[in-house]
Amino acid sequence: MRTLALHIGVAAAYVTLGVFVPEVLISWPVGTAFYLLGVCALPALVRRLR
Amino acid sequence: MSWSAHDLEPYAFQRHLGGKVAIVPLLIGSYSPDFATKWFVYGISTFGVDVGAEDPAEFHRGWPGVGFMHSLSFGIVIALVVLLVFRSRIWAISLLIGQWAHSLTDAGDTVGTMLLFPFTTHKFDLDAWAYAGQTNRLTDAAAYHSGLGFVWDGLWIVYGLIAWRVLTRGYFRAVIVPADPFWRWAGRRVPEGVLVALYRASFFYGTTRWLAWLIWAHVLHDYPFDLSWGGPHWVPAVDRD
Repeated sequence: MRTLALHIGVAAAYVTLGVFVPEVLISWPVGTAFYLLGVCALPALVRRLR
Repeated sequence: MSWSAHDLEPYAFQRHLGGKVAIVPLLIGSYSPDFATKWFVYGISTFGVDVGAEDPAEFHRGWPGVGFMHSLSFGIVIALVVLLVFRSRIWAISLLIGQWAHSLTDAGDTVGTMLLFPFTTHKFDLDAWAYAGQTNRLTDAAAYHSGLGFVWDGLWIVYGLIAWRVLTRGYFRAVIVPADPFWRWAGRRVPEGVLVALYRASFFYGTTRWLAWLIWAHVLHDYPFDLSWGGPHWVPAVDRD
């Protein structure tokens, strides 16, 4: 459930960014980097800061 | 052309073929027909100089041009190269399936693909949605997400969500990793969580960009939906028939 919530949050952020800056929707590396940052790097950083 | 189907179709094949295919070459195959050529279709402008194809649709799908990359024989050639170089049947077959899926999917638009090249340069097309790559990237996106193209992509998203177990960590461990030595090799260098995310990345990318383009085209802008065959008809579609 936690994983699903995280994915929905990252998806919502990417969709919002993409709607206003559609250039980020064009590149697979950009989309993948955003996703990896959101579901891997950011949670790892938060865990470290706690 | 298709926008999200090429990101999503490999997961449907994965669902059905399980350990008989490998997801990485499946995805590479699915992206291969447009690899390194799409920017030239839309063109770019650098230092005041416009670079791009004179006839984008013909360059993209025709001959002379790079249209051969959308042929079934191109899939066979790259699969044979992979088989010879890496001696991996599963990589070769996966690459072939991905490339064929892309070529057949793109035959859904008004230009179509030279499926039987080099035997014929005839473009096989279903004419279901408009090819508008000659306009510009944003107009093309708006057109695609206003016609039957976005419906086609939507079907793959729905299918992927129904088959959600394919995206779980358990499936990744049980099916994806044993099928392809790449994952064991990568697993010695990268944490499993990152590998699972990499495995899911194209599904995430395809689904979210589909939704974002729809909102961009119909909420932020005012492009009308036109779900008629060959639509949307408000865009000047290329139709080589």
